[in-house]
Amino acid sequence: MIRRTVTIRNRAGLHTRPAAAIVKLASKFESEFFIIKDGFRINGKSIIGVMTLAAAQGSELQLELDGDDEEAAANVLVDYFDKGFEEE
Amino acid sequence: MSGTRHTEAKQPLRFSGIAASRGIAIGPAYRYERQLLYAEDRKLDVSEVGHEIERFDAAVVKARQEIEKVRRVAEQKVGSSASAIFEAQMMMVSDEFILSNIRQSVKHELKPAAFVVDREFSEHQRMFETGDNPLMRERVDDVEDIKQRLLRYLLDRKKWLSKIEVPSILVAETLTPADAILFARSSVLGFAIDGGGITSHVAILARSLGLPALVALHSASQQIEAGDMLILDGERGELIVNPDAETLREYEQEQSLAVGTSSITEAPAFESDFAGARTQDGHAVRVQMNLEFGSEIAIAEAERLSKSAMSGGSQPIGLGLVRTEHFLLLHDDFPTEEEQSTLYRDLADRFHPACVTLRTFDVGGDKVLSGSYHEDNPFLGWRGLRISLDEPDLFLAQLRAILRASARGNVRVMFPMVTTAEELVRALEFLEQARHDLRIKEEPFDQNMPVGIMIEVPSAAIMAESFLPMVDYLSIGSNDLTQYTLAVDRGNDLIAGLYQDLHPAVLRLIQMTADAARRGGKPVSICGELGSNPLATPVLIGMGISEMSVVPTDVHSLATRVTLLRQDECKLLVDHILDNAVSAEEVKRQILHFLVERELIDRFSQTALRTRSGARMMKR
Repeated sequence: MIRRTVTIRNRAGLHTRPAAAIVKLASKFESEFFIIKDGFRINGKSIIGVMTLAAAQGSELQLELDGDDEEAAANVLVDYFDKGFEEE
Repeated sequence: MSGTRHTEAKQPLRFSGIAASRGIAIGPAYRYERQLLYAEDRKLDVSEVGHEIERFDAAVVKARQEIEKVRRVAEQKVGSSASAIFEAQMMMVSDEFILSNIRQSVKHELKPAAFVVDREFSEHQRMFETGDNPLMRERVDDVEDIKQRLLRYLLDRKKWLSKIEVPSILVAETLTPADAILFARSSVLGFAIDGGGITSHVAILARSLGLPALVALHSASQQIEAGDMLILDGERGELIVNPDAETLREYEQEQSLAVGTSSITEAPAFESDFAGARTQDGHAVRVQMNLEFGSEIAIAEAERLSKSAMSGGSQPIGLGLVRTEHFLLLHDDFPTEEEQSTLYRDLADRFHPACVTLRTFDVGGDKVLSGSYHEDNPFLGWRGLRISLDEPDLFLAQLRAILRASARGNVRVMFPMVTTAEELVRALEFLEQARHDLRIKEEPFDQNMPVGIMIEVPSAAIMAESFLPMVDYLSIGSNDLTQYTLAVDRGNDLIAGLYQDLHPAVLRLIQMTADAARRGGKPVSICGELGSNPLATPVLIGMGISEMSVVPTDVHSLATRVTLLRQDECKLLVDHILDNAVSAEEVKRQILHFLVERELIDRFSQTALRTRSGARMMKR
């Protein structure tokens, strides 16, 4: 199991479009995926779950991955967060 | 059930609301009520579980089919940008994590699927509401929509009827954007809604669908029965229930007149050498169009009008105001520079060689993203240029996108909501930065792209002179200027009557702006709704406004009115009004007197009826 910390960089925050993209990215991997924010832990493969995080710009989140391909999955997801969801 | 029974004995009733979308509709009432469903708890027998889960899965399939259908209709009706709302809903109803949670609860807790659906979705809605990203709060309604669809099926309730068999006027307390889209597909003649304001999503959709609509009718829907005969007057903001025969006949006449003459194939009043009209004494007024809504339909319609002017021998009609923020209406956030650049370039190409005036994002206040955070006075708050100046990345991306679209030389940029000269100085610094960025990337753009500002805050009108050396033109936004001058929010139906765009205070500010522009040698245009008001035409001409931008359907009637007037006479009218009139009523009286004296009143009425605008004032 690995954990990585990421920050929401884009202006609009974690809204519907990136939430959908995260779920789609995560679903390509076998590993279980959770996102933790303020002690709140949601399933990262659930769009409604990811949306409920309602994370604004500047929020810090922890990505938790567990499975055979956790390393690869973490790299892809962290990269997507670091790119500010490719919005700016 | 009263059904379609329409008895002679019924007394006529009148309700006043806000005309949110123009036109007149006559037809029977169709009452639309969508009751929110709730589920009861009970203990399932173990033997029921299998069947309960099957019912749940069937409900999910059904909901997906319904949402997909709405999405397709939306795409067809208002373009692919609108269907994005429904794509997100589709993903939510396909969320395997939530779905399997629900199945597990049914199985292990022995609870009915409807109860678990209600509990599960409601819980997520609460989380949306308490999260710190305001954009997500707007999503609560999407989840509600999904929840209700599932509950309806699980509780064996009737399908929401979003189809009308006989052409009817839809009467409802509230209406969601999805409802509006679906009803537009069948024979709905217009919308009469208890709630809402002129800028609500339903109002905006009704306008882009070309259907008359009244909003803010208070509790009218409770007093209307299905099948009652209705006249929905989207010109005067009135709903007449069970009208007497004479009223009905009058309206039918007006309606047929409006329909019969709205065709653009009529002899255009346009000059052959430019897109505009000349007054009797030879003063040129350029006529342009406002682009209301970022839908393909609205753009195509404007393009058709523009080209039809050209085929009539005149120049194509340009766009005097493109509200770029309307492209965002149905999105969660701002489009990227690349997306914007594609969008703007497409517009510039389609209207070339006519001019395309791109106004930078004017969000906040009543606009789409107002829910982003709470402000006590959003109209006096963070909106328009103020937001752009505080969000440099966003602003620069838009300015670069606009510049990139300007390469063929027919694009102008305009800043909204300018209040002080310092703001303009800063905006111009950003524009210079954007130019610099493009030069480095060696991207082509128009080095001399004209820059203008909206005059819509009284301070800007009063200080118009101080902005002039920095800009190429001024454009008066009469809607906001009226609201700020008279301190009235026209979306607020309690005081909407105070919204008087012909009030002498507003006219004086317009005059100050026009005078300053003339002294500075810069053109001044008007792009608010005042341009469409037939009574305002002589006043604006008298003030020396050289360019008027109106909704596409009004360009021909405006051009016709211009050709009927003499500027020197209009000038005297304006002098008289500004010297004497102390109320909007007096202003109107003087204009009517002016028109009657010149025997223009009938012809003005015709131009008003042709586009069905301003008919009320003309009728008196």
